[in-house]
Amino acid sequence: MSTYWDNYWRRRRVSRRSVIAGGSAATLGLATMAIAGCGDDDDDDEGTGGGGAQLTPVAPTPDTAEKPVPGGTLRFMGGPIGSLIDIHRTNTPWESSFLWHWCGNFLMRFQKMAPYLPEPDLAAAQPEITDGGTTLIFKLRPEAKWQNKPPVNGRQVTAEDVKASFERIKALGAKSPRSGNYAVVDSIEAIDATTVRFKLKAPKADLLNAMADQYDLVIPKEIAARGEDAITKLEDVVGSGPYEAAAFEAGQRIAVKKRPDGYWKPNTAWVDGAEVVNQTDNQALVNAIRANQTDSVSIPADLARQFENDANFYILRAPNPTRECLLINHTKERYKDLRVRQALWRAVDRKQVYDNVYAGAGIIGGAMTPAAAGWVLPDAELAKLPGFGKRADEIKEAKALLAAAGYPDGFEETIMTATAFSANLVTDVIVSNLREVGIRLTIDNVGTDFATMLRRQIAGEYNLAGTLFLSGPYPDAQLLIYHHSDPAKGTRNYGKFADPEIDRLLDQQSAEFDYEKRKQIVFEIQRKLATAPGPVWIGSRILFFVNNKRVRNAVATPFLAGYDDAEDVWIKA
Amino acid sequence: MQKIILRRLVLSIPTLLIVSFLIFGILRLDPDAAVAARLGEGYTPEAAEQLKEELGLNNNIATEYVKWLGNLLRGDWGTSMYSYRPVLSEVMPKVGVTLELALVAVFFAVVIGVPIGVVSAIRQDSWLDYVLRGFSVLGLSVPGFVVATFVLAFLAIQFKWIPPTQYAAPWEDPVKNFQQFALAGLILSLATAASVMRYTRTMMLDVLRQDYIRTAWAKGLRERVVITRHALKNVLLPVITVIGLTMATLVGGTVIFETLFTMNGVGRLLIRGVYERDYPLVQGITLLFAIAVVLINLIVDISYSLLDPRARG
Repeated sequence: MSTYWDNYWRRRRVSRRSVIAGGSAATLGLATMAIAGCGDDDDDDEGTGGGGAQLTPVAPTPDTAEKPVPGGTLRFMGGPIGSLIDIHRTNTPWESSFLWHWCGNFLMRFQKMAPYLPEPDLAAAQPEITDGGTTLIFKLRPEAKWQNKPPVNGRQVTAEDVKASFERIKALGAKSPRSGNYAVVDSIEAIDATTVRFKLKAPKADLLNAMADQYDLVIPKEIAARGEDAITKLEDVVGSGPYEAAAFEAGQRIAVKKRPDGYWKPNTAWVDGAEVVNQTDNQALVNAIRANQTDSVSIPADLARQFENDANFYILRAPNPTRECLLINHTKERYKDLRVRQALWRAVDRKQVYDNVYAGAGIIGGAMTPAAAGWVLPDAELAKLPGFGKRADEIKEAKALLAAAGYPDGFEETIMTATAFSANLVTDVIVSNLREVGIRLTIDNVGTDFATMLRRQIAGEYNLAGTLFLSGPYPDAQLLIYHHSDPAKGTRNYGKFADPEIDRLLDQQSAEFDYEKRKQIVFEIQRKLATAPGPVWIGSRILFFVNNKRVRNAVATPFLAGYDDAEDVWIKA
Repeated sequence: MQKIILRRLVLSIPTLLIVSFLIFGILRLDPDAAVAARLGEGYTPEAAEQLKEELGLNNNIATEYVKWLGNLLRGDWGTSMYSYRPVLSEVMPKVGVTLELALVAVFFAVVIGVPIGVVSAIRQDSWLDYVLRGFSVLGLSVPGFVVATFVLAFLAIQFKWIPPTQYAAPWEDPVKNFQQFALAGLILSLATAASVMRYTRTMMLDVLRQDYIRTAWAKGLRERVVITRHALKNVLLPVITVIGLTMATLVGGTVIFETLFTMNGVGRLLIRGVYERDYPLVQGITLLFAIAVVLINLIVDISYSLLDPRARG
């Protein structure tokens, strides 16, 4: 059986040559391991040379040959595990991707094999969209039941729960990192027990994606009604998912166990329980999986490679939606000149960034993260765009652009960065790249505190910045918030990029619910941003997951995906 | 003796006050960074101001310090900004792990350092002395976390084994507890053991040249009796001081070792607190470490007074 990622890499044959194995998986601590149906030992390694073959997910056996067996405990090790157990407020992934994804459900979740498109979870089907995209009506699965714990005691999941959950997220304001996603929601109405209606102020196609994006699970209305401090302890973790919270030690350990009353989705949720132990030291993770103290770890590629020929383990790979970036402050006079920005776009050697910093484990890309597969320009087209040609040609073009802009000898500039998440190492490569076209950069390193760099980015206290961003796998999160000139929409447009045509296209795609139509607009935006750039997007690194061979039906997801990891994985005794 | 203890306790108060003020002040040196870390991508100048107000970061630092100190004296160490639990409830369950690790390390430091130091001294300038001194230099110069990294990797690769990661109290599962702490404690102790060894050797050489030792030899006493009954007692006095002083290093070392060995101690909690900019938690733990170091020094002083009557004066 062919997997989604097999096909993905086949489609991206050109870029597979530019994708090299290696690199750091410890990006922002935001890796997540998703478990889903996967099963193909087809390596598809034809002509890759550069290590692209290693990117094909490899399952220990074809999943058609084995039937899932219940039992066992799945052991993860990773981190950091934060202390904020409130899924609507937390911003650290283990509380969400492990604890809550195993214990709860979303209204919509991302598809396992197309993790850029939402599918129903608690919803019974895709929503009915009317009134020109301003009304979304969801029918809920009547069989969905809460766990048999107070205050819900196994009752049905109702439209009132959905309404209370999303109203809580919206009401949390600055206390929820996702609250802004629902600013467009005018009202939520429970029509009956299994029907809920969202009235929007304007059409917003990505609302469904936002609902599926990792953190926005549905919680019981009784708990939601407690307000912003509703979820502060283990007993408050009540979901409709296949597992119950068994232990939560902030910064230390999370454990879940199978819900005793049975999950309402039959023939799913095979393992008896699972746990994650907090460990962020990469070598300790390697030791732990070797010593059989964990079944799955995410580690940098150079460490993961030692497991490649070890029959006791297999490696899964997925692009990380974290994007390396050269941020440009467009309010500075120099960068108002399009030719200077075009020169920067061309001068950055994207491949070298991943070769040097991540031992080759990265995928070069434009304005959409390569991890957002379903929305990314095909490789053949990307290769024809500025910035993706032969290095010598790009340098020549960049120099010509600078000369035309009045900088035949380049110029001197400062670039801000931080010694965190390898941003400083990426910046080192950028400095070297830009020197080739005459731009002499002085590094302004803010130190190890990434938050300080973020604050200065937001305040516009920089000229250039070697930085990185992480956002969801859908167009608004990838394009709109970074490029729209309206501050209410371009919430991460820290460089104050402004292009009326891009604004128009961004608005147009944002309101388009039809995937194929929307994709064409998204493609057009990517083309335009390669010729009239805002930030200089570089690409995304690759995550490596090493699994014990006893773990079956596992696949790495490139996103902080909102589908139930818990439903499909099983353990071979 | 009571007077000595009382005097030492009184003297430790200004130390703790200075330490607590430093902890409190340093954490507030860059309130903007802390607020930015909390708000992340949601940072706006307005939200930052609001959060600073909520956290009391706009208030006068001295006023805030006095308030914090007042609460501290009433037993209120504050509430974690993330878990919403009292700091003491967060910290106390983990103290046992850190304490056990530190004590095991001290045990190994003494058990290894003292005998080797003695042997090295009484066999001065022999090949054995050179070998043992070589090891002590190695112990002092190679950081414990490097040794731990190599040892753990070796065990994992060669024997598919590393110490268990889930804590087991000694009274619940002594074997598992031993597996967890023996190796970590042993490696953590290496630098301290090397120091103890070198001090023991130096002191022993000094003592062995004293007249009363010469007298003991002249009486025809056996070497074992001369060393253990006459020399060692005087050698141990300064060694105890060394052990006390290195305890502070050991307590600091537990932060790294708890991470390497996946132990749920105070050190890892501190790392989490720093990561999350959880001021009350970081303040509480750092103060706890400071109190521990002050107490250790107090115990050293008392031990010294007990062992050497001249020190009581």
